[in-house]
This record gives sequence, C-alpha cells and structure tokens, in this order.
Amino acid sequence: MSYCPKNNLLNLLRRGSKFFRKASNSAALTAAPTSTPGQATSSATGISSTLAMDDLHILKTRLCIIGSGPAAHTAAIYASRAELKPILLEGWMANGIAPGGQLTTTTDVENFPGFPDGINGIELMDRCRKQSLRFGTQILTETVNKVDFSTTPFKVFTDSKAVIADSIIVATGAVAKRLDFPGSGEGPGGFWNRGISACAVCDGAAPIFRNKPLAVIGGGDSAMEEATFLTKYGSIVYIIHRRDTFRASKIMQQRALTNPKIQVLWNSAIVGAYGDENTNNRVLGGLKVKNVLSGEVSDLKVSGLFFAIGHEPATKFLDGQLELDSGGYVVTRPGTTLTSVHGVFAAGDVQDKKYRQAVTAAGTGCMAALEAEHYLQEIGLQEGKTD
Amino acid sequence: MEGLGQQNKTRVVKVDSLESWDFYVTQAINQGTPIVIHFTAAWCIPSVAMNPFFEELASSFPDVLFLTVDVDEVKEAATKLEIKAMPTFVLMKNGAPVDKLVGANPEEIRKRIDGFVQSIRVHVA
Repeated sequence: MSYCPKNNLLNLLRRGSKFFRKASNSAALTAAPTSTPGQATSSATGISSTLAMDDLHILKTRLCIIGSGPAAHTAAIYASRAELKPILLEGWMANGIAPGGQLTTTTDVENFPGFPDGINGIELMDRCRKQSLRFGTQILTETVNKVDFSTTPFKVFTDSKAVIADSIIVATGAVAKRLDFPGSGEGPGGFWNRGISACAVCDGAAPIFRNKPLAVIGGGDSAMEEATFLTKYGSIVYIIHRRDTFRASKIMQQRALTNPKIQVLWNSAIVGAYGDENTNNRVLGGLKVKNVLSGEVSDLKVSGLFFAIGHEPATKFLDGQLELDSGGYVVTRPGTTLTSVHGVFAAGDVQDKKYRQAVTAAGTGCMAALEAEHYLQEIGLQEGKTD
Repeated sequence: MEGLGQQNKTRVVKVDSLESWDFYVTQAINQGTPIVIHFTAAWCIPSVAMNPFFEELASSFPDVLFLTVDVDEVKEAATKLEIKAMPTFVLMKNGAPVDKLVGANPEEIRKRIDGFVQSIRVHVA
C-alpha cells in the first residue's frame, strides 16, 4: 500500500509495495500494451480484470526481461528487433521506485549522450519505453515476487502471472540508500532534488552548488570519491560521518583528508535540513548536525547534501538463485552479462557497482540481449536467421 | 495496438479552487449525483500514478461525478474532509462522505466504487 503523509517525509526505502505506475506527460504510457489477442495483459489500464482471477495466468516467451530502466529497455529494443518477442515486467512501484527506474527520481539528465539540452529523467524513460513497445515488446506492469531458475524453461512469478521463459535478463537495478530526517524527502518542506541528492557525479555540476559549501554523508570509498569530486564545484566540502574513522580504503581516505577543500565532521549525524531564506526556502540552505557523542546540535550552512552511504541492488526476490557478491550484486563474468545460471543474464546497476550510469546500463542491456539471442540460437529455439 | 489512454476526452474534473469545489458539490447534491474525489498532490508519486486509473474509472461509471483535488491548491477542501495522506479517495453522496480509502490500490478503489454505486441503485429502485 502506498501513500504520502500530508506534511512530511517519505520513507524512501519502502520495499515490495504495490503502487500504480507514475503517470507522466507522455501519451505513450497509457497507450500501453501490446496485448496479443486472447492474452489478458496487465497494463496500466487492464489490471483490474486480471487481478480478479484466482489462478495464475500463464504466459510463455523466449525471453523475459525483469526491470524497467535503461538496461531493461535497451535489452527489450534489441531483443524485440531480433524477433525474440520479449515480455518485460516493469514492476508496479517495485522497490519503491516507479517504472523507469532511478532516472524517474531525478529531474534533468545532462550527461546522457544525444541530448545537448539535457532531458528530464522521466521523459527519457518514457521514450525508452515507447521504443520498446514500437518493436513489439510486451510490457506488463507487475512486480516479480518469485523466480525459479532451477530448471528450464525458467519461471518468473508475479501476483497474478507466471511467465515461462527460455531465457531471462535480470535488470532490476539498485537504489541509492537515503537517510530519513526532517527535510530529507520530497514535497513541501523536503529538499530532495532541491539541494539533496544521492549522486555527486550526476548532480554535482548543477548551478545551485557552484562555489557553495556542500556536504557529503558517508564513510566509505564512495563518500571519499564523491567528496573529492565535489571540490571541483563547491567552495568547501564537509564530510559528515557518524563514527571517528572511515571504513574507506587508505588511499581514498588520504586523498580526501589531504584535500584542502575538504573538512571532516566526525561523530556527526544529520538531524534536519532547512531552506535558504534568500530563495524563499525553495532550496537547501543548511543542515542541523548533531554530535553523537556530546549530543550537541549545530547549524551547518550548505547548499548541497549528497548521500554516499551505499547502494542496494534489487536482488532479494532472486532468493539466492543467482550468485551474488557480498554487496548483493549479481556476479557476472567480466566483460559479459553471463550469470551463474546458463541462460540467465544480468544488466545494469544490479550487476554494476562501479559505474552506475544510465549509459553504461544501456550498454550492458544491449550486451545481454545479444547474449540471450546467441544462447537461444545455441539451444535451437531461434528460428533460422541470416546473420 | 495502442490503447485509448489520453486520446479520449477526460471525464475527470479538476477542481482548482474552493469556489469550484463548492460549485461541483452543490450541483451534485441538487442532481443527486454520487461523487468520487481523488485527493492528490503533484509531488506525491503514488498519488500521481493513480491518475490514469482514475480516468479509466471515470469512463466506467458515467453516472458518477469524478473530481480530482490537489491538496496544496485547495487546502480548505482537504482540511474539511480531514485528508491526512495522498492519495485519499472519498466517496460522497448528498454532500456527505460515505467512504474513504487511503493509498494507491486500484483493485480496492474499484471494488469500493462498485459497491457504492450498487448501494445507490438499490435505494433508488
């Protein structure tokens, strides 16, 4: 169940909640799907009829793609153009994020190649979705809650459907962890996307941060890297950390600690964020920082706060059926999207903790589709094609 | 095959002021029309996500007045009906709320409206 309390913050780490897909400015979203006659599809408009059924509705496909971000849609575009007739399960507010993935939580995307004037995150994903549909991808707005990769064909389950697939691409992404405190969310009184962000590489260059004091919260390599990166833009960068030592690697720590523009606030936690009076409180003006040892709360004037406390890949639903690394990311053979199960491929942030960019996700999405096509030919299900 | 979606004219009325709210509610009372209101906020994703579905419901129930109210735009209406979270769906008859549903749950809201409409039909008959 999902809703937003009227006056304050969202709990941003909602899990497995079932919401409806975010409406957007593109007609393509409601012009949804791709139903083949005789198959009830769960689309933005058709969901009520299928939910009434008690039994699982079974669908068969050569390729099932789980995900809705740039990786999933690039895979869908390539796969559908290769006549694999893929089914894509985009999720119904899976992981607390609207279909389209993490890009739907940002506003302007300035660094995706091909858009010299930048593009709105939601609009970029709308276009990807439209492109997938154009070539025949069947998109279901349902969240996968269980999979069975123990035998072939593989099985993927949602609340109302079972998809039987000869090959799978897992592209469920990851979510940047965020903290919850007064002022950290969206809506009035919250400064998310108005000074608070979870990605320095994505947002650091924005004008509101230029030559202003900024803050990064975290203690790992990401935090060190993001803080160092931000010194290019900000006047000073504070690293706020709740303990008195970083867990980052020595070399990253050194780089950060010897940077004259970086100052560390040890044993500190953020207890609130407030607005900048000069802009009528429309953007972040400062933070209330509490010393966890003394309990003292002080003011820290910053124009930007970046969460660098880690990412969480969406792999719980796999229930251990794919090999994961210690952080929960799907292990893939380097340079490929091959996973520990033959016929299952992983693309995008769910298997990438290093780059985590839309364009690298799109790249691995394409790789996954090509590898899936190759696999299907191998097992003889692909109809004869000239290469 | 492209669906219908936003190519069709919308049956949902957007209430953007207190005057507009009073007008529609009064009119509905006079005509005996049941009302379903979607209290939403532009910044609340689950709420905005319900918009297309709300449109679909509006087409399915032509004898009901469907209103959408942004709680930041028409604060008084939200306060009057004690709206604490978005989306909240309120079913009203004769100017009085008869049911309230908080949260983005398409299946549930359809069920409630079905029941609402049935109960009205029974009374009229």
